[in-house]
Amino acid sequence: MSTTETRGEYLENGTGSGLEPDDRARLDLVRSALADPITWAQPPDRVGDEIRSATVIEQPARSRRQIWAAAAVLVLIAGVVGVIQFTAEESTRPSVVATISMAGTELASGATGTAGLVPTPNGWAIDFEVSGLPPAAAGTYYQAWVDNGVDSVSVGSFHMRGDRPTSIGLWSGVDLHDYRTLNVTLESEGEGHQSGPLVMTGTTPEFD
Amino acid sequence: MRFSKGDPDAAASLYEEYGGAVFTVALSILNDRELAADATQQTFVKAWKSARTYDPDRPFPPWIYAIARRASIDIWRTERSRERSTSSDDVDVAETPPGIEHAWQRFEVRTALNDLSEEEREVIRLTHYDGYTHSQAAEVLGVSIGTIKSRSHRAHRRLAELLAHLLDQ
Repeated sequence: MSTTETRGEYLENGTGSGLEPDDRARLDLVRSALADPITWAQPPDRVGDEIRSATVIEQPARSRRQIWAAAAVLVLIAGVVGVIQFTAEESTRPSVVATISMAGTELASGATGTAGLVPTPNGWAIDFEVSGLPPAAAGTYYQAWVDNGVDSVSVGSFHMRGDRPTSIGLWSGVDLHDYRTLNVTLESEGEGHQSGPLVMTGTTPEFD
Repeated sequence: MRFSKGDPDAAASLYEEYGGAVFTVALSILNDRELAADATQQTFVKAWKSARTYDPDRPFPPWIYAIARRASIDIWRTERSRERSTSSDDVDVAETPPGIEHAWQRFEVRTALNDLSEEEREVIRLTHYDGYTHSQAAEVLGVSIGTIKSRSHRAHRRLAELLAHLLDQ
């Protein structure tokens, strides 16, 4: 009798010879799931309607690309001005005091990166170098957070819609000696709290 | 894949296929139908909005499961914080919902059940969930006991095949 046949028999009757104890234990869990109302539960009808409404309503936003393009130009101009100022400050800025190795979670397993922590008089600059993180879809964005085990503080957002490894400037107003974890989540526009799935994470090594 | 291009009809048809399995995950974690319904809705809307981050070369179920699990945990923590805001207990951010341990396994079982034919699924439901004997199931379905036995044998063998990756771990 094949393994599938034996397992099928055990699933059906709760009996069967030639099975290892571990195999029986896993089959018992499946049998238990088959008898559990949660396994057979159907979502209320409203859920399908809400999903259809939410996805259809979002569609026109995609046709407003020209508005977004204009906004992007303004952001770009602001960014260029910022880069010029930042570059001027760069020569006097302290150097990296610690580097975090960042790794993708199961949602972005190809993503890797490093985050250099730089103390400045105005806060902590975080030089985040990342590759392999897919572009955030329209209507979504990545958000970076530092976490102290109790509280998470946003240190910036980005979308990765370029096509090459990226250097991203993040800023923290809280002391990174205390906030030792850097997380990146995928967020949806219009949901102003940390609710999205975790896509990258890293922990700060010990440093002075 | 139409879904990865943001097609709303594709989101609806994926809900048709995986809505039950996602609801099972959410209900396992939240143990509340209305909250689980909210988590299911959020899962598919978030998945649809994040569709371009999905790699079509990878299997879809683990991707949607991860989003469902995250959405459910977020709702569970929000509810937990709300409950504790009226008490002096501290909120432990590392705390996880009690039902999360078997959520993946239930998701896999539910997905495998969806892959069975209607007849196969029905006989499994009658014998395991409703607790009917073969002769009672035969009476309910209006078929001979021989038909029920062969259908049940085939259904369980196929279920074992579909869950082989879970059972081989």
